[in-house]
Amino acid sequence: MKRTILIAVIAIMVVVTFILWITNAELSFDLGTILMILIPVIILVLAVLRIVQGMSDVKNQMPAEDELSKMIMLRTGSTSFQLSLFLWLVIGSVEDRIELEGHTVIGMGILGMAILFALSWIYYRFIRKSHD
Amino acid sequence: MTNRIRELRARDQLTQMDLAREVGVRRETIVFLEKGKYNPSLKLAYDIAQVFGMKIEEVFVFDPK
Repeated sequence: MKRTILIAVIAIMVVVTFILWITNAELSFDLGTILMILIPVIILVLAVLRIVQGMSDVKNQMPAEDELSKMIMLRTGSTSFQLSLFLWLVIGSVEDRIELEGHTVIGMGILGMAILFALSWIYYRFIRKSHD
Repeated sequence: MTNRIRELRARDQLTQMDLAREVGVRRETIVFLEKGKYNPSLKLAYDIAQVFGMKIEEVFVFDPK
């Protein structure tokens, strides 16, 4: 329950920051701006899913996590971290060839890391045949 | 490693949710166990065997292959 509340608080902070940014920034629909919009949207979608799951767990008297879910998260974190290192290497080499603004590069990196994390989680949760 | 969880659950008329609550894990963990996709920790294996009133080796069968 504590984790669900923490996620809700972080989600609210993301929404508030996002609204402040939208209202104060002069938006132009370039790649950087689209990335900057996509990141909070993905964070919010994940947060809402986690909050709904947390409420369902409380209703069904299920623990928030157990040995299997902890192992899946551990492997997800490990795999996505290793892949992220390669992602930043690729971004670094692309940046040498194509001129990109600093915030676009950082946005691409953060979004890429989030996508890698999500894909790793999907792999370990739904695709991998065995968890031995 | 194979197990008899599904068979014993049917015998005792327990749902996956009931068994999950009894041993303090999520329902998905019971699903993974029944499908043979996950080998439990010794503690979880012991807890599951306790729920069925059996020994660990009567619920979980080690297959060296």
